[in-house]
Amino acid sequence: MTSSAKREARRSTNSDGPLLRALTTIPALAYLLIFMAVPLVLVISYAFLTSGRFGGVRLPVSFESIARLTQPLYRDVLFTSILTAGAATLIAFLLGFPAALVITRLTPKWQTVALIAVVLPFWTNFLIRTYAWIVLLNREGLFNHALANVGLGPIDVLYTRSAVVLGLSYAYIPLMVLPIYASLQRLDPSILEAARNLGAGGWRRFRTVLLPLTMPGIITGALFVFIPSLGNFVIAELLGGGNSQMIGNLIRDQFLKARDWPFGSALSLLVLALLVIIVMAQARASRRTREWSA
Amino acid sequence: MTVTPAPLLEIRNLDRSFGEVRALKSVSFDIGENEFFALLGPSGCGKTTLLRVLGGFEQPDEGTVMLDGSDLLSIPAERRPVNLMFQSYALFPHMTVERNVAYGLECEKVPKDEIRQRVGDVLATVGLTDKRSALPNKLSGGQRQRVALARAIVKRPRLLLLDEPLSALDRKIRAEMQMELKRLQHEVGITFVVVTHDQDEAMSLADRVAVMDHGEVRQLDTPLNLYRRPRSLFVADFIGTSTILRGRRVNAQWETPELPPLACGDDCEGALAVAIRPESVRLTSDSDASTQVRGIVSEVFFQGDHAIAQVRVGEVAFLVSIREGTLPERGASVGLSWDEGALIPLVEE
Repeated sequence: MTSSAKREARRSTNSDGPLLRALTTIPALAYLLIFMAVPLVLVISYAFLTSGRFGGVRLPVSFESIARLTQPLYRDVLFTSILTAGAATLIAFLLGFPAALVITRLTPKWQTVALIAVVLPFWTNFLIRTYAWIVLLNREGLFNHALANVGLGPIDVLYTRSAVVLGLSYAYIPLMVLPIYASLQRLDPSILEAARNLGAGGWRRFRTVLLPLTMPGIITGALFVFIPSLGNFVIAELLGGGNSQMIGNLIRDQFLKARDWPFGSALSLLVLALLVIIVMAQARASRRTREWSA
Repeated sequence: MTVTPAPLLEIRNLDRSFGEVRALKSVSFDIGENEFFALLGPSGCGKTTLLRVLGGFEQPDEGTVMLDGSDLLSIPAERRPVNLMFQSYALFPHMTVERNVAYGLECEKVPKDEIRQRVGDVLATVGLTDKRSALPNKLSGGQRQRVALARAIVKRPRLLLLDEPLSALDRKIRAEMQMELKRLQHEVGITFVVVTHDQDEAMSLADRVAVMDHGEVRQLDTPLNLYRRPRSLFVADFIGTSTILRGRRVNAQWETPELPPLACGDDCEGALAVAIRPESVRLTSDSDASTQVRGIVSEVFFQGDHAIAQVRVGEVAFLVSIREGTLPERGASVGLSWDEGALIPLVEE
């Protein structure tokens, strides 16, 4: 939501009576309280309790789970998860930005068609789409057949970290394209023409005008890809094989296999803290851009 | 202004079509060095297409453009010695005034010291030195325009194109900016080409004006000549106001339906119509022998220093400019007279 839209929303609620305001906000507040705050409190408190014998938690209060987070093993999992999600985000950007740029250059009719094509994969089940990659990437799959035809390969892509990065960027690339498309759409095309008129070649126009002016969309898109990628465990499980664990897999295993709920909660808190930091940084950056976007 | 033997810009037989629409139809003319030139016409007349061809954002289907005797069309937009002030100004919103102005010089890889020097000078010229660190959205409309202008002239182009430079400004700032543009043009010695649909803008700024319609240059002349000697019905109608009488010359008289024959000179021979400007027409009293036609005052528009009266003579509505004396009442019966030379022959549609 843009700042002006927020101001608008605030102004309109201010003009309504307090009763109406209460009636319209209480359902949303109640929803948030039940489905966000309560689980959050549970996760936080579980992280400071002792593990029950068959799962669950019990007293006494313990800091053992939090302390375990600093062990190199878990630190490494978190670190590689960030790298994997980061790589997926980068690839989604490298492919998504040009795609969004091309879409904005189409006629309005074809823009609609292209945008529908971008979100079309979302209409198919996520698992099915991920299984499709197994078929494409395995030793007998289309990918290796194509390589064989040009005299290369076969390459074992499936069950490697590369496959996970590929799967993640594939899964979330529409979330990169859409916000970038929106910010490109808002850009006055004469600004790029002005840059060209002043002597800027293609690369300079991209670096000094296009990129900074679409940065809010890029950051939004990057968060939309990075955040679900970091928490995703299905793709790591299906495409990554045994040795490409993500932090998401680790958390799930703590709850479902190791039955160590306090440690699972502690890991969850760690991811949550990381995301809070990222979102705060994004809010800071967008405040800066709001200064010049009148 | 006379055109120098070797003009700065030679436009020859430019053609450009968008599907069925021919935006430019074999347009040819010259623009001289240091000239203040205007392209004037209603929207859709092709003036913006011509501007975009000169800027390099559009390629013509046919024709050539020579700048300083060399082919302009083969140079990519970013390397042309032609700068454009956009109608929307197109300032970079994320850069300060200073960085906006410096941008074009940075692209040319001008040394940093020289950039600082030239940016400082040009900001002083447009009177924005104290706004150098401001972002564009903190500026008023007039200030933004000055930045856009500074950004274009700091490159010292051979040709400066201005797209509707005054249209986004309110009345008072318009007048100021108009003088500013004139002053700057003399000061920096750059050839200016203004593109506009506003006749006041073109007539007050330019040394010469090309009036365009449907992709063609209908007349190219000084503002004074365009006003006094329009060649066509279109130009007479588009520039200023006038009463247009279609008809033909018979026995040294202008014959038009609904009116008695009017005395007219030899230059009306072969014309499609004649135009009479409001300031050429006088109101006459009953006894005045010079009265040519009589009519009824249907409207009076007061405009400050003068008033315009609309006088109906049968189906024809004459416009009369009144600078002194009392204003006639609506419904009054008045006589009209004019000198023989007041009839401007129009030879084209």
